[in-house]
Amino acid sequence: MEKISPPIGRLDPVDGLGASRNGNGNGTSAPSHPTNRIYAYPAPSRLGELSTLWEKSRGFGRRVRGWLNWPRNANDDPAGTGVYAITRNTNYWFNRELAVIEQGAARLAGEWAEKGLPRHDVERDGPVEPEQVLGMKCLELYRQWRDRVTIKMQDAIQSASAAMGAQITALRATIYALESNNQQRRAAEHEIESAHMLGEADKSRVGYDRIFKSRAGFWIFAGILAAAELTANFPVFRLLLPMDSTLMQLASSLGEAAESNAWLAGPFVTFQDMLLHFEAFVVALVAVVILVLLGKTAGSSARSLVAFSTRESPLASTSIRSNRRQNLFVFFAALTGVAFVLTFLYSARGQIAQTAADRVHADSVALQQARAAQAAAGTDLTQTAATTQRTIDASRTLQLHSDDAAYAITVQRINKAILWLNLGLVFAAMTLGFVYKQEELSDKRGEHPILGLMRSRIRRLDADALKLRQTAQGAQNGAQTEAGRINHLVRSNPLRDWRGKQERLQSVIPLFRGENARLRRIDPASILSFRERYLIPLPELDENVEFRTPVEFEQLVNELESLTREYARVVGYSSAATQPMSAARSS
Amino acid sequence: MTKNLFLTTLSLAAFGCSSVDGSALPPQTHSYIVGVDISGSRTPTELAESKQLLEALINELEVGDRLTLVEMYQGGKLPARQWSDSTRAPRAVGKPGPSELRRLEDFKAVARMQAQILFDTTRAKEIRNTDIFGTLVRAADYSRPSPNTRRTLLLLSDMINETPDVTMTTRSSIPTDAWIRHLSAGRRIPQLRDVCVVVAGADVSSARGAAIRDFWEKYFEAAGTHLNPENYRNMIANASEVGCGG
Repeated sequence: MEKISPPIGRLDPVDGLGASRNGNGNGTSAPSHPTNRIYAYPAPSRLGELSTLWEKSRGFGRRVRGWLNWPRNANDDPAGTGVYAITRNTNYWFNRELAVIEQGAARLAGEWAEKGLPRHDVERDGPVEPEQVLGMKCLELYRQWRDRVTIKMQDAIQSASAAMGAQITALRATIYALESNNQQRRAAEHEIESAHMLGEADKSRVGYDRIFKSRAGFWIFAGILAAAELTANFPVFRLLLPMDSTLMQLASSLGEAAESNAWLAGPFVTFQDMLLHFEAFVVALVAVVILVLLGKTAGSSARSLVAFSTRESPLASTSIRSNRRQNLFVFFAALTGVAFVLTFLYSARGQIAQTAADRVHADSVALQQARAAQAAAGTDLTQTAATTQRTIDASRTLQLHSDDAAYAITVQRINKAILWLNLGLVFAAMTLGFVYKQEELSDKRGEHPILGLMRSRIRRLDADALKLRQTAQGAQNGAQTEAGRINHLVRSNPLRDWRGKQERLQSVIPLFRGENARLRRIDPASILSFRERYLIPLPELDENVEFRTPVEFEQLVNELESLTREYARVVGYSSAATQPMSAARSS
Repeated sequence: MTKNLFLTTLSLAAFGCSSVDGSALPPQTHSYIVGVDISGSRTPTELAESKQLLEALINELEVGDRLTLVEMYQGGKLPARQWSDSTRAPRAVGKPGPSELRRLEDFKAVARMQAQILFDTTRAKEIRNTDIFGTLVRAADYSRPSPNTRRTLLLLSDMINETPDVTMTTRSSIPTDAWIRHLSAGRRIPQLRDVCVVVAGADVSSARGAAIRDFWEKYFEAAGTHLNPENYRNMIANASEVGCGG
């Protein structure tokens, strides 16, 4: 006898990958309990090596699908979450289970056919045993299908209710956030209005005049300060930077010219002395000019720092802060420069005694050499004249430098006192710069600083409100969608196909009888036990039955209506407030 | 209007005359040519007196003066030591500046040093001959006419020439007028025109001394100048007397 149906032993249990096909429809894997295990045909084996390759690559395919996150849930099918999605999964499960029963029917038919049962010539009262078993299985499957559809529908309704509640909760939170946003916006607008009123009321001047108004007086005092500094510091540089012999002779010649100026000889000689000690004069002049300039600049900057206050002129606070930053930098830079120059002068004065002493020592050596040359000249009148003159010059130079050394010692001894004098002159320059500074920031007075902050805050609030409106709209739509879905699911009739399911189940008995007769190579009609039609006693179902609405559904609907009204009120203000701001920004 | 014109004219006149003072006159400076004779014929006392006079003269020097020290020639080819220097001409007459005074002091110091060398007594013993004529030739070279300069030739000598040609150790050996004319005819007498000649250290008491003085008076006449007997002295105590009074 040829077996065209695979033995039941060849059915392999369906693994987790196909678990969603068991009809639970929730995408979760069914527990691998033996009683719930679904049996299915193994992969086709007719392709030989290709089938082997298929078996080997199946695990890899699973992994690839896992990486690519392919949809493994039938609920993810584009069919959506409606009734069709629920019944489709259930129908799939039903078909699989029915296929198992049909296979069982074919197997039983074969086993009975091998034994030549039921005997064709014996008439039996009622269905044979396999038909009874198959009938019970079909009845059980029919009941499971009905319960499964009912439970899944009720689960879907409950799930939609929960989703609706979540959307309502999100909508409520969003409305609260929008309300808070509106309140903050109103506060910011109030601040802006107050700032505008304050700006219109505040017409005070932002600036200051010179305390010392005379331009000529300023330059006179600046000149006096520079002259005093130069006079005080030039001798120090003159001692530090020695004059060469050529310049000394030139100084003597020029000194003769200066002496003819009688009572002007003093300043004239001093001026010539400065010019002759040109390096010392330049260094001293630069140092003094820098010192006076830095002092004056520091004083001017200090005036700007102390004259303006953002508290007194809040409308000019931006300009004042900018002005203060710049003047603060200038002030500290000028003070640093003054410190460096004074430090240089102080350290230079601290070294002049040693420098002058070294020069005296060198002059003493030169004088000794001149005297030696004079002695060596003997009675030679020409050489004696030259060496004598040289001795006289060396003696005079030594005398001058000895005087300078004494002066240097004195200067070094009063170095700190000179430092105080320099500081006093610097402070005088600072005071001069302070009293001569004038500045005007009235024309640079802008809006109240809080206006910018408030505008920025309103822009941020508007952006937040826009996002919140979108969120609220989404939550509202989502809640309404869920409510509609609940109504739809409640009024749907997923059991209306029960007659088709019964007919499918009833076909199992003819399948058994036909297969049994076919294997026995006889006509089913010739078997007396099969003459009487056997109908499985499947109960009729009420296809118009409605499902239960969740107990909280009514409350959720009422709350949704309330929140919808609340949202309309809140979003009305937000939209009305945003539009003028947008228009203002665009203008 | 007239009053203003008068005042303006007066002011211009006063301004124009303000520069007409002593300082506008050309400066008058002195040029002293000193002949120093430290020959052995002179006593240490005479040498000391001559040295004192020279130092006094140095002290009297003023800004712009020139001093030339010439050692008396010894005849032959042996050169005599000489030194000539001056200070820079003053910028303003009568009002020397400190630097001019400083230069003058330096100049005096150098001159004193030169004088000290010239009056070296140890060297005096070595000198046997005194060539006054040769010295005068060199003095004439130093006393070339110069504008606004008074030239004075001071001879610190006993004026006794002792060379192989002319020896004035005795009255008879003093050259005659014919000898002077002979030299003059041959243009062998140096020209000292407008040079004031002063002699200190000469013998003016003996007959030989008088004869020597007469000789030199005629000789200087031939040289174009005049030797005043008042300036032919044995000793001059005051340096301000070195000059011709004009």
